[in-house]
Amino acid sequence: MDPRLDPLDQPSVVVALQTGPRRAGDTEATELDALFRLHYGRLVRALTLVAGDRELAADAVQEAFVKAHLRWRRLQHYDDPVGWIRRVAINCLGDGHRRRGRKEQALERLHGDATRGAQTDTDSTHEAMSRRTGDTDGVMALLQALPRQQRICVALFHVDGLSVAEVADALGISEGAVKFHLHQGRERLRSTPGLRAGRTTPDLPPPHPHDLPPHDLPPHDGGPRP
Amino acid sequence: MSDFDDLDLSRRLRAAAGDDPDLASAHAAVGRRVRRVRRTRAAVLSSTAVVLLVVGTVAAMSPNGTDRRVGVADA
Repeated sequence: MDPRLDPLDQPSVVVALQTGPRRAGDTEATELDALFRLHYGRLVRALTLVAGDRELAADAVQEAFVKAHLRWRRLQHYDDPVGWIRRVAINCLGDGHRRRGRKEQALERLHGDATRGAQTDTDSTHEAMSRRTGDTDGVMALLQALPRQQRICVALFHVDGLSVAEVADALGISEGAVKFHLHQGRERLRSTPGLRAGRTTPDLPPPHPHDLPPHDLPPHDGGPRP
Repeated sequence: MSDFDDLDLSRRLRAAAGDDPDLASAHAAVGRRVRRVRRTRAAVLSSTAVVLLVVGTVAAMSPNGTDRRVGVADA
């Protein structure tokens, strides 16, 4: 028999024999690790704008990746596993927000502090949020004044670099609704002095490596941005 | 480039979103949480199996089993 045709002489087989059989868990770890490296940072940054809190966002994204790990056998056959992870992270963020709201309400009731809580000025809340996130020009505070759906659209489009169609898919709404939210969000954000179009920005922080224009970002999930 | 692209707004939003998070610690945290969930699931499954086994054994050894015979009534 020609040794070149012997399947055991093939380099991949030799490597497999040397390293032992490849288990399903190895594949899961490798593929999910790659997804994690590619998308974790962007997802956390986008959801930070939605939640107004970096730790809440990171917790939601980590929870989504944990669920992906536990369901990977099914998830790996999906067309867009990252889309699934993104949706789960957004849902986790909403659940966490509701849980936190209920907890704060309960604490307020417990301390008989409801009246003081009702008098809390929203501006001071926004200031506290800006301090917490290191937001220097108040963008974060402005974003928190937007409706949640609008905030998510703006964050996914401008920070995660998704297209209108991908944002619509992530939220389960129509593309028209996404365009409406993007338009409304931009108008509201632009209505503030610091964000008006054409403003020269000498105090702008140096651009982050990820601060490329959306069309310069790597293609999302293998598809070019329209 | 779509009609909704606004480079200045995108740049400001990305600056407000902060730096990239630490991947290594986040990856380790995800690994810990996955292991914890798997341990919990395994514990629940094994506890359920043990309980079922005990209940089955007790039922099988019970004198009031299915082969109880009715005695003849005394006259």
